[in-house]
Formats: sequence, structure tokens, C-alpha cells
Amino acid sequence: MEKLDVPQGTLDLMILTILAREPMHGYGISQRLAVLSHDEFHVNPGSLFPSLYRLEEDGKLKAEWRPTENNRRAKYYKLTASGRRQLERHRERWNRVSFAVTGVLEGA
Amino acid sequence: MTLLHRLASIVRWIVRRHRAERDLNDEMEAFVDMAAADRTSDGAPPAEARRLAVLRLGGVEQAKERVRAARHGAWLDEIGRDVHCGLRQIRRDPAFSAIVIATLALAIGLTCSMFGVLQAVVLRPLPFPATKRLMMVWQTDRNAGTSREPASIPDLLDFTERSQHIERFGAVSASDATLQVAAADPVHVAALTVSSSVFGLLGVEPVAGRSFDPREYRPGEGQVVLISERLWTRLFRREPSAIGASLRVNERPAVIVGVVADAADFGVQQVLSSAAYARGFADRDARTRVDVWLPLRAGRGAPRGFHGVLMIGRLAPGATRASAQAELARVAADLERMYPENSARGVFLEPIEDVVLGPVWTPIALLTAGVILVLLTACVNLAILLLARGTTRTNEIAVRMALGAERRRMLRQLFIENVLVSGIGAAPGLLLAYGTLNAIRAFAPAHIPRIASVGIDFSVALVALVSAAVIAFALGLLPLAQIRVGASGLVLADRPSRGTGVSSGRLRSVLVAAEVAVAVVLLTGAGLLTRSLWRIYHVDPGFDVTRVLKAELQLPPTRYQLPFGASAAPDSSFTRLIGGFVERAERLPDVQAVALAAHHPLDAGFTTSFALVGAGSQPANEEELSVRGITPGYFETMRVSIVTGRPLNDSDLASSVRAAVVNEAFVDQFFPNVDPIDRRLQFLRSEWTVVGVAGNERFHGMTSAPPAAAYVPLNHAPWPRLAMVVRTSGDPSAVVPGLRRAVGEIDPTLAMFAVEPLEQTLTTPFGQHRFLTTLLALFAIFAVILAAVGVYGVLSYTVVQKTPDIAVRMALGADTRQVLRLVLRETTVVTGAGAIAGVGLALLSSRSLSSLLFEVTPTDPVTVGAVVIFLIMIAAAATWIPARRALNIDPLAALRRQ
Repeated sequence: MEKLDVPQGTLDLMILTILAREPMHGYGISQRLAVLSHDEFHVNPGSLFPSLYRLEEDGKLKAEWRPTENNRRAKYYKLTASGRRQLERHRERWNRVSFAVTGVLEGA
Repeated sequence: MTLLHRLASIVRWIVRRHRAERDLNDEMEAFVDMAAADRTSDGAPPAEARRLAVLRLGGVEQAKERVRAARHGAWLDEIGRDVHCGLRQIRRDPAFSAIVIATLALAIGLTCSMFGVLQAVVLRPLPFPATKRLMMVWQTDRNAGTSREPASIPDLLDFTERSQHIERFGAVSASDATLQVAAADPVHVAALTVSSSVFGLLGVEPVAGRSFDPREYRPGEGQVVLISERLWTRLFRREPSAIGASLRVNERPAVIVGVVADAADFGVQQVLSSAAYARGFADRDARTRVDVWLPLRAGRGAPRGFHGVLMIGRLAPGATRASAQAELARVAADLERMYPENSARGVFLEPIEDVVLGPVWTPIALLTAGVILVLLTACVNLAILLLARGTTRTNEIAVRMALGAERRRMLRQLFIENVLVSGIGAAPGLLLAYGTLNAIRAFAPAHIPRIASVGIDFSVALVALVSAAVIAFALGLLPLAQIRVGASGLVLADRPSRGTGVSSGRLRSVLVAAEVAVAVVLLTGAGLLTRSLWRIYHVDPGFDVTRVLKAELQLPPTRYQLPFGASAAPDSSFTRLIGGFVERAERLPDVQAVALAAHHPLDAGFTTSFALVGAGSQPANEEELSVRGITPGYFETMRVSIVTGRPLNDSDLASSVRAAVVNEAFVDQFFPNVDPIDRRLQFLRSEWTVVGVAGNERFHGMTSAPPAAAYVPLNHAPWPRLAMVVRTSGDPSAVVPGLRRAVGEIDPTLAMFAVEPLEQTLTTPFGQHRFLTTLLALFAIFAVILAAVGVYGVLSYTVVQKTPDIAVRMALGADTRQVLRLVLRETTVVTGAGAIAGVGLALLSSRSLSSLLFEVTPTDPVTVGAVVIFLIMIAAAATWIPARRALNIDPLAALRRQ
């Protein structure tokens, strides 16, 4: 089966959701995303990191270098208060969109 | 996201660039490590794991690139890279870049120069307070048909009293003065006598000392003067002791009360030159500046019939030129009724601005037109060059876009390239403007007002930057046109598609034809002016100016009584002066011949009415005779030929029979078929006998016909101003000290002035003509070079475009001539059409030059023919290289490239 692309505009939402649970580094985020999406979404760093950096610059995430479990150094991203608010907004919007689309698909 | 926030993150990014880069690197490394670690734990060997991890990532560099692009400050980095890239492009084709930059520099330099001149001379407001309300109040003479006449003092007083629409009147009068400070050498200067309101009207303030007191304008007070800064520096070395110093002005004691700025006499030259009479020193030399200012002292007792002052006035608030003109015309009519001296005298109001700037409009308009034409040509060339290069670069652009470059990015890159080129062109452009303006300051004719203040200042530099920016912007849009046109089919094609070539190629051809036309027009104008100048220079003046020195003397009336009309015997001091001077001067080394004359050969002198005694047609009422008083050495000094009879000699000076030598013009007019020798004439209250006929001297200027004249011995027709002419065997200027000594020995209070080689007096009046011609010739040369570059460009492009065609034909056996015909056809059409259009335009527009042309018709076929031939030669030269390139095409290689 061909690979699925991450739908336009949802990557931010998913990143924020993942980080809402616990701070994580980039690799971890990409792994978690693959697992949670039932192995459908495989995001490569070329797409993931630009979003991470953008979210960080916009103040939604905060990054700091920390040692990993294997004692490597990695950059961990954490959700900020503003990030949480953004997550809420994104989630609400997504709910509305999916509700609307589902309504059309089922009602037509 | 707020603007502030965005700015802050940009600043942060700039500040932390390096660290951010390192961070990014580390982060990617960590990512790769972790991915590899996972694979290793799945059982793959470490190296293999790493490789797979990197592969799966899709390329670390690309990832980094995309991250960089996503950052807020990224675009700055990109622009930096674009600039770097642009510079590399420019370096890659140095010849092309050089041509573009040179053309740009020319365009910017010309724009700046033109703007600099316009601003200094025309655009800046005149330095008078309320300039627009300042008027010349000329009188007019209906009988003589003149409209710029001086007025008399009583007239001035009457106008002042009776006018409401003019709130203030002033009067000026120009003259020459001899100044002597203590025992120093006397100095001859130009003087301006002004009424009490003139300083206020013109806004003249003293820079040292004070202005005149109101009582100093009353007759009977001690004489006071104001001197110019120039004179202050020259005579007093700017010492404050000059204020209050006494000196002799025209032999009378006076006191200096103040100093005025050098620029205080702004406009005086132009006003005096416009006047029909009372021009004073302005006639002598357009470069004369006022060095001494005197208060006008005249009361009602002054004669009403003597018109010696020029009136200026300022409009009252609420009055207009028309209303003041009407009012003053009424006053003039009243005066006409009351006084016989005012018969046929009217009034004419002219804004001072028009008088000062009027003579300058035509040459400036002409030059501005020339500059604009060259500018347009330069811009067209730039457009053509850049379009042509854009077309040849489409391959490169297509490849880059195929590799994934965004279109917006490409456009931005090309835009930045063009901006860079314009920027690089702006600096030499400013330099060119600087040099040009300096040259203009040095060589421009002096009577153009304020030309000496032309230079680079803030506004000129601003114009340079603005024009560079405008050009950059306009040219920057060109690649837009090309990429859009080609975008759809471009990526697929691997050579410039014919379709786009043809349509833009036609536009290109039309533009180049227009360039050729412009070049023809400018060349024709320059050619006509040059021919005219050549003609003027080759007019036979009737006398020989080589190695002749001229100097002038002013004889103060206090010591030299010179009755007008030769009936009374002249002052013995006068006769002693002429005799003594000639004798001494002849003994100086290197002197071949010496003469004194009332007027030097380029001085129009005066005319008087006369009558013929005995048979012969009497002169009509207006026909007058020019009288030239000379010493006998004159004919030899000036090498004027004697046609019949004999020249004047020493015995004529003393003889009771007054001898006169007439010129050929006189004989042609009044003694057409009769022997003029021994005929008698009556003028200057005396009877004269003609003893000889001399060749014509063009003392009215090279462009006017020589008038009828009679030469008489100087002591029989004395004149308060004398010209010395000295023929030397070496450098005429070397004789000057000896002459000064000779004059000083006879009369130490006389000051020699206007000392110059007569050759210079001859050529100075053509200063403006020379200046214009030089500039126009320069423009023509620029236009020709630009047109040649344009033709070259068109042909180069045609060759590139038609290479496949040529290759095929060559492979099929076409010979040189056929290939050339294929390639040159378009160029020939373009050049031919341009030349024909240019000739047509030139013939139409050269009429505007007719006032400047001497003995050359505006449609002179020789000039036009020469221009066309010259252009053909240049076009042929321009097509040489591309044509050779066409002939050297290797057909197989070209076809293989398809």
C-alpha cells in the first residue's frame, strides 16, 4: 500500500498533541507519530524539523538540550502555556472539520 | 504573530546564527544516531545501520535546508546568497557586464549632469527677495522700434511719484571707473551706480562695513563707494582697514564704506546686455563683474532728454504685471504729452527672471533634449542587452527549475542580479557626473548665470540614486516577462523557442532602428553646428589678428579735453599722448608695428550722419558712416590692404587739409562707378578729402556685413577711450610690461585694461557656440556608440537564433555570400530604416538650429550625406564580429547540438 502523506495542516496539531503528554526529542516524536498513527504516517526530518523550529520560534514550544536514556545529548521540546492554548484551538478546529466532513459523507 | 515578535525573532536569529547552525547540526546528528541505534538493536551492523538511517531520512542536508528555509530570518540569508550568486554571474561574463555597467554609468552620469545644470542655472530661485514681483521697467521707443531702453532721471522721479502698482522703483547705471589707492598702480574696474532703493530691491547686504546712508545719495556729499569682495581681496588683502580707507575714483577722492559679496551683481550682466543702450561695460566682455558700487546722485535738475539709467521696480501687493503695465503706460502717455523729450516713448514691464534667464533657455532646452535622447538610447540598449542575455540563459533557468528551484526564488535572484548591476553602475555614474560638471564649470560660457556654481550636491546625488533605483526596478521586471512567457514550455525545450524569439525580436529591431535614428539626428545637429563654426572661423575678418596684442585706455575728462566734433583743436595733452606712446612702443623689443585707435578692429564704434560734397548720390536719412580714428601705423599693424590711393601718414596728422581713407563698403554703397579719390565728405562738423580706399574690416563681427566706414587721423577725431594694437614678432603677451611702462612714462594715472591678444577678442563671442557644438558632438558620439552596440547586439542575437538555419544551409553547400545575406538582411533593414527615419527627423528638427547657423542651411546636403556615410561605416564595423562568427559556424557541430 502506498504511503500516506500527512494531511495538510495537521502536522502541527499532532506534534502538539504528542508533546502535551511529555517533552520529547525529534526522533522520539517521529517514532511516536508512526506508532500512534497505526504505522500510516512516517514523517521524515525534512518535514518534521521545520515544523518544530517554527513552533519553537512562535513560542509554542520550548527546547533544551538534555541527556537521553542512552546518555546521548538531544534537544527536548516542551509545550509552553501558549502552546497548550494553540493545541486547544487546533483540536477544536479539527473536531469541527471532521464533524462536518463526516456529516457530508454519511448524509449524502 | 505580531510584527514585533517577528522582528524579535529575526534579531535573535541574526545574533545567534552560528550557534543555531551548530545546534541544527547536532540535532541532526543526534537524530541519525538514534535511528542508527534502533537499527543496530534490530540486528543490523552499525555502519550499515547508519547508512540505512540516513537513507531513510531522505538526506540530511536537505532536511537542514528546509529547516533553514522555515526560519523567520531565513530570507536574509537567502538574499545574501543571491547577492553572492549575482556577483558570480556578473564575473562570469566580464565583457557583457562591462558593457551593461558602462551603459548604466553613462545613463546615470548624464541624468545627474543634466539635473545638476538645470538645478544650478534654472530651477533654483533667483537670489532676489520676492523674485517673481521684481520687474525691469524699460522704456520703449516707437520711432526706433526698440523695447528695452533706458530712462532719464526726471522720468524715474515722475514714475516713482505717479505709480501705485509699483511700490518701489530703483535705477542702475553701468560705467567704467579707474581706482587708485594711495600710490599704487591705477586699476580699471566696472562700476555700477545705484539709487537708494536698489540694495533693498535686490537683497544686497554688505559683508563688511555698511551700506550707503540715505544722505549719501544726495548731491554735494563726499563721495562714498562700496567695493566687491574680489577687489577687497585684491587691493587690501581682506584687511579690515579697507573700511574707511580713502582712494581716488576717476581722479576724485572717495571713501570706502563697505564691502559686498561677489555674487551681489547677479543678473547685472544679463540686464545690461538686453538693453538697447546704456550697456556700459557689458558690451566689452560678458565676463565683467561689478567691482565698485556708487550712490546715484541726481536731482530734478538732470536733463530729461538724457536716458542713462535702467529702471527696476517691485510690484505692489495685489498688483499684477498687466495692471502695472497698464498704469505705467498711462503715466508714460502723460509724460509724452507734457515733454517733447519723451515723444514716442512708452513703457515695457518685464520680469527680471525672464531677462536674466531668457537668453539661456534655448541652449539649455537644446542640451536637455540631447541628453534625453542619449538617455533613452542608453536605456533601450540596456533593455535589449538584458533581454538578450535573459533569453540565452533560459536553458540554465530551465535546468534549475527542473531541479526544484521555486519560480519565486528564481525571479528574486534575477531581480537581485539586476539591482547589483545598477548599483555597480551608479558609482561610476556619479563619478562621470562629477567630472562632467567640473568640465562644464570650466568651459561653459561665462554669461550663463550661475554656471559657476554647478556641482554635485545632495540633491544631485539623490537623483543618481533614484535613477539607479528606477532603472534597477524597471530592468528587474524584464526577467519576469521572459520567464512567464517561457514557463509553460520552457522546462521541456532545451533551446530558446522560436515563438518567443520572433515577437520580442521584432520589438528589438524596432528599438534599434529608433536608436539609429536618434544617432542620425544628433550627428546631423552636431555636424551642422560644427560646419557653421568652421565657416565662422574661416571668415576673412579683413585684418590679421595673429600675434597682435590689444589694450585699452580710458582718458579721464578732467585732464583730457576732447571736444566732440573735430572743428576745435584737440587738447595738446591728447596729441602728446598719442605721439609719445606710439614712439615709445615702437622702440620695444619684438614690436613690429604699433597703432592707437579710437576703437580696436572688433569694436563696433560709433556712427554719425554725413553728407557728400559735390556730385554723387546723397546718403538717405538713416544711412550713417562709421568713423574710425587711427594713427597712421594702423593699416600696417592690422595688415589692412589699401586698394587704391594711399594710407594716412604722419603729415596728415598736422595738415590743415583733413584726409580720410574710406573702405570698400563705402565705395560700393556711395561711389559705385566713380573714382572716390579727392572726393569730399562732410561729417563731425568738418570737411574731409578722400585720399585712399582700404579693404573692409569686419568690425561689426564675423557674422555681419562690414559697414561703410571712414578712417581719419586720431587727433582730428579724438575719443576718450583708446585702444592700442601692437603687432609683435613673438608672443604678444610678452610685450605687456613694456607697454605699461610706456603708458606710465607719459601719464602715470592711466590704467591699461582689457589687455589680451586680439585673437582672443575674436574668438570669445563664439564661446557659447563652441560650447554647444562641443556638447552636441559629445552626445552624438555617445549616441553612435550606443547605436553601434545595439546593432551589434541585434546581429549577435540573430546569429545565435539562426545558427541551425545557417548550419543546415552550409551543410547543403551555401557559400559565404548566401550565409551573409541570410544573416545581414535583418540588420540592413534595421539600419536602413533607422537611417531614413533619422534623416527625415533631422531635416525636420534642424530648423530649430537655424538661429545658430552661419552660412549653413539647416538642410545642408553635404552634412547629411557625411552623416549617412559615417553611420553606414559604423554599422558595417558593428556587424563585423557577429558576421564572422556566423561564417565560422561548424555546421556539423551545430546540427549535432540540436
